[in-house]
Amino acid sequence: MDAEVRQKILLVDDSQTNLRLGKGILSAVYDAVTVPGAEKMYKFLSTHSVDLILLDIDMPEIDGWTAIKQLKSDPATADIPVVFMSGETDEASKQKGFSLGAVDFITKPLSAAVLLASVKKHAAK
Amino acid sequence: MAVLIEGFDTAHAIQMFGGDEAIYLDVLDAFCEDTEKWYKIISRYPAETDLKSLTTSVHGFKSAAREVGAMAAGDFAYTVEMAAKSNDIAFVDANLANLLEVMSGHLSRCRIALGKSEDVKNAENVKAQR
Repeated sequence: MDAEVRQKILLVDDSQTNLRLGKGILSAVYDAVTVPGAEKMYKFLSTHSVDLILLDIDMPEIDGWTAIKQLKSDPATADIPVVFMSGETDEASKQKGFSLGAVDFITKPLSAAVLLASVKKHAAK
Repeated sequence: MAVLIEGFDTAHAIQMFGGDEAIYLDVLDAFCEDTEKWYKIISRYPAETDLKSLTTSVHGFKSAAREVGAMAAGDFAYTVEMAAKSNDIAFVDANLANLLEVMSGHLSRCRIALGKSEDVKNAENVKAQR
């Protein structure tokens, strides 16, 4: 039996490229779970707890802006740290992300070092 | 030595992944799946795909291409994405066929690199060295 329970990180992105990259980087340290969109994220969170959510912005159907608003308005998920990961690099997008309650905003292409540092810093203790 | 694919800076991408080539190859496989999906959506514009779906798919390809080191393809997709976001339909129309050709070429070369393609005609474009 493991002496230490690994923290669970939920990656939300419609891009399998990004999901498998994030999972590949995180899996050595964390229990990384992937879902291909916000609707699946809500469903997962209804039955599982997670220590941090990595959330894409530009997704079909429900985008990351809408998704974080719903997360933060639900008492059951409001305290889960959310880190945006996006190809949007402009200041306005970053400011919007923080104003909606994100704890960090990392840009694509993802860097293993940056991703791991952000997750380590922000994952719920 | 890292796998080499024309149009891809694989060494840089692997470095970004923390130096793990196994992760890179797994991600490249996902890139093929995604590119095939986005290609179908983009190629159906404007008959069956609307501008919003087109923009999301081009954006997805842009980000994924840059993740796997296909920087020029990602940069080109970015120009189309920006045009679509600013409703510059003339630019989109003028460049979409070229973008689809780029996507198709990258998909073909990735499949060959992963040993998943029967397209031997393009094999000379791929120089896999381990």
